[in-house]
Amino acid sequence: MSTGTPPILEAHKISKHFHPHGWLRRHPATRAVEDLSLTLYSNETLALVGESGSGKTTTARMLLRLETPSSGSVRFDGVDLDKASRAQIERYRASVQAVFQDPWSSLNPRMRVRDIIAEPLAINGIIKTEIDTRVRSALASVGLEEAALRGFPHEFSGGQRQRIAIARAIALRPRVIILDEPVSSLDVSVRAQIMNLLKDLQSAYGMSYLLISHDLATVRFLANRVSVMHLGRIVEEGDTDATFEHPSHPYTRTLIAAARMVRPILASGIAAG
Amino acid sequence: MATSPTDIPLLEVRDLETHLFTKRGVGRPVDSVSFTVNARETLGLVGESGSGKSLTALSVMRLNPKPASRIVGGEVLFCGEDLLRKTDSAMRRYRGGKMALILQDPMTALNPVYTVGNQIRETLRVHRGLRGARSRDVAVELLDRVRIPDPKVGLAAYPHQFSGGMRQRVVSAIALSGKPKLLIADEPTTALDVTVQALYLQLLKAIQTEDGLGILFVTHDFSVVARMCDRVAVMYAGKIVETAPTADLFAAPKHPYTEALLKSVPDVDRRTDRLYSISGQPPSVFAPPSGCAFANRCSYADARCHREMPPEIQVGPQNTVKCWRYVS
Repeated sequence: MSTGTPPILEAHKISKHFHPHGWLRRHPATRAVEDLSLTLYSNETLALVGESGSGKTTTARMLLRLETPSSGSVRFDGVDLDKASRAQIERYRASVQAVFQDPWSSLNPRMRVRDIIAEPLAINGIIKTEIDTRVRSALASVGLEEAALRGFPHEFSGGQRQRIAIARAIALRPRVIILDEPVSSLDVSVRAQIMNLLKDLQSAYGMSYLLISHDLATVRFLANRVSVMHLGRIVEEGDTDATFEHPSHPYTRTLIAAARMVRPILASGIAAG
Repeated sequence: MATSPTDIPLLEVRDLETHLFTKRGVGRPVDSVSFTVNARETLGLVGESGSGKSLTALSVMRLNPKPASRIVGGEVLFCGEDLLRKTDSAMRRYRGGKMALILQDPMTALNPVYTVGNQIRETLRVHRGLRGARSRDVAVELLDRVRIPDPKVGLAAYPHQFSGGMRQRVVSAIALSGKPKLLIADEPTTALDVTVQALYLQLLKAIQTEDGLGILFVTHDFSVVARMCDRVAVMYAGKIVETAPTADLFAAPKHPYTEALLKSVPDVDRRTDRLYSISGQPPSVFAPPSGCAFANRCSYADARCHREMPPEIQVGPQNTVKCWRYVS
């Protein structure tokens, strides 16, 4: 995976400090992310794990340019985005998409599903005649019926809404999708469907995923590599299987132990099936 | 109230029916639900969203949203007395007194403009008639019991000054302040991080042992069930489809739905290429099928499953299942 191929998306020593305003000014700045570097190669899934407040979402937002780093740089295809030309930024915007945690708030309730999926295509100058075909094919890839195109988001269940959000993200055939807790608001049975779907789409389109998650079981299933974040820094990184089997940082061990507590009893139940 | 003889369960719910009244018609989100919770025992009520588990828990306390829903049938026996026949003012003495509720999000459960001390002492005044220095002392004791460091300072603090885990402890302190016998916890750990979650569940267990509490634990998370519950009731489309002691449920799930759910949980310790997944979706509460509600997603289903509702079968001393496969 990382051998030989050039990186697609890189964070180079990025930090994010939030400075309080107004009468809170005398409080110190929150150092959400500190000197963080990561590299995403083609066709791989890198997971960023950590508990709430560890800075993983802030990192994702900086990679999406929804947040400007206080220092450091983000590079796409080797180009520093702060020094990039307008055309390069546009290319980056079209190639890096996102799926967020909550499909109830990430879809505009006043738009029909067709328009939700078509919007990024129209913005990126895809010609009108082609938009319809692209929308239909995106919808088919996520396993929704064509009748869904005319519906509004509230007519769908949580899992179906997450499928719509994924369809929107893949419509532009991006090279990278940033998945911020893509399954944590979904039910167990639906969660499995969406996790399988994400895997299938990756092998069909050859995209890279940056997976933000607090759930280690999800990470084990989807990611090739994992970076563990704690208090704004990466404390451990490596191949997923190796990291889970031989965690070296105490924080990683705590996380895995907490996730594993259930295992002894569950194992027999699963083995039977 | 008379102390109950030992053979009467702490909470016994019989054929509870809560209906939903909307423009789309009448729905049956809680459809003839029966279960018991004994003292010193935790019953897990497990199900996915829309299964009716939260509405069942709220209906037990008669806190179901009104007028959208109404309890139309059944009995809720608390130490043998039917709560559905109590007056509203009698019910208010039960809630926060003999039975207490802990909800998912501790930030919305607490009032942001009052101090923690204020909110604990309100319950102490209402349910135990404590005032002044005495109520202050008891409040400090309660915060100490839920392991809030420096409880005296904690009393003067506002909810936003605590972390999520600490806030849930404050909520628990309030829940315990009326000296309840039954605790109803609706997804109390869902908003907490895994490490914090483990500590909170340990604390809840310790308190349960000390006070002999019965707990009705509503959750969708099997790892929490494994850690916390003695028995489990699995809900699907408004009905309890299987009840079993926790170990039995994990070792040999009886209902196809339970089996499928357990199989679709990913494993931290193994890399799998594909997760087992249940196709389809549960039926709408407004249009329940005539047969088994799981039939259209079930790999074992035959014609009878689609046609007729399966009866409840006793398959062990504490095990029941609603499935035609167990009818000989």
